[in-house]
Amino acid sequence: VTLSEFEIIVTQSQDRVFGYAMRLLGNRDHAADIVQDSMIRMWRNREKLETEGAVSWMLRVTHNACIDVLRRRKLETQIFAHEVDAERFESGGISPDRALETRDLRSHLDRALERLSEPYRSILILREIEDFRYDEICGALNLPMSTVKVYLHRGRRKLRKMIQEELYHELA
Amino acid sequence: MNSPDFSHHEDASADALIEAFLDETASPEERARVLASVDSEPEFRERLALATAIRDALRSTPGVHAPPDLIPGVMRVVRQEARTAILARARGWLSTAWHIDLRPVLAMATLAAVVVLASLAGRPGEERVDPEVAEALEQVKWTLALLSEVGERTAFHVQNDVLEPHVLGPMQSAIHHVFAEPQ
Repeated sequence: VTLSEFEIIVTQSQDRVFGYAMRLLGNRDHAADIVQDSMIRMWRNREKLETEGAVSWMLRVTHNACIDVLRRRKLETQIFAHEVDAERFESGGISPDRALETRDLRSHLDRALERLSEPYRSILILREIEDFRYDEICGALNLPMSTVKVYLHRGRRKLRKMIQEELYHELA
Repeated sequence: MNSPDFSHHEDASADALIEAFLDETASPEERARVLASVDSEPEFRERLALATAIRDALRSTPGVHAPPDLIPGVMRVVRQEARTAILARARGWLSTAWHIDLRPVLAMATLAAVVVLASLAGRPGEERVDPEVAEALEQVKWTLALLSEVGERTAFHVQNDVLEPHVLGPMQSAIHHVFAEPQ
């Protein structure tokens, strides 16, 4: 990986990698520190890396660092801070009407995601929210493709059941 | 809403069917089963609707933007490290060359470099004369030739101070004489 290739890779992937760390940690400053560190570590390991696998590598370092932070802080059940919610509705990526329509579901979804265990939560965020490719997710989590697909399927199912239970108790 | 029966043995296969349907990986037979179940089973219809809504909500989650100073900060560190690495490599190479007694080779290489640089620096540049300047010089040359001719014919020798005012008068007289009364 040359210096110019490195700059292109980090520039193109910065939002998604940062978004992933941010959604896991719920804190912009911590996420920025971790992503910056991951990028610099990627540069220091450039001789071992191919351009194609660089994003996966950086994602893996970011993922491991985030999990370490969560373990240390014992915050695994407190992901998705208010900051994320505020940013979501202020960023203009979703229309106000649509935001209102989905707000109820989203609050259930956020709570369910908070409760979802690893690696289901990471896989769902990487695939469904940040739109990483399957091969990038495999590299990031060091899992075979078939396992990632099975976990994604189970994660969706668990999420659905959690929300279904919440809705049922709410309406009961 | 119907009470969900989480212990139902068909849950897993129904979920797998819904997953395949939403991912558009379902076979034509599976799609037909889904559509038939939607029509005939209210609970299945609710589950499919919920799964669709969750997927849409996840995918419509607005992206988070990285801080604007993230990449500049990273590139600053990386460029500094790259410069340091290049200098360290050069220093290491020189040190190695010195220790394996390549001093004469280094001295010769340095001398050769100095000679090449000196010859490049001392090489005269190609003269480029503006066409208008060339034309003016041509005119000056023929004027001087004419003056010379006039001097020859009139025995009036142009001195170094030819352009001084005190010689302009006699010159003009001589020229007038030459052209008015040629010999």
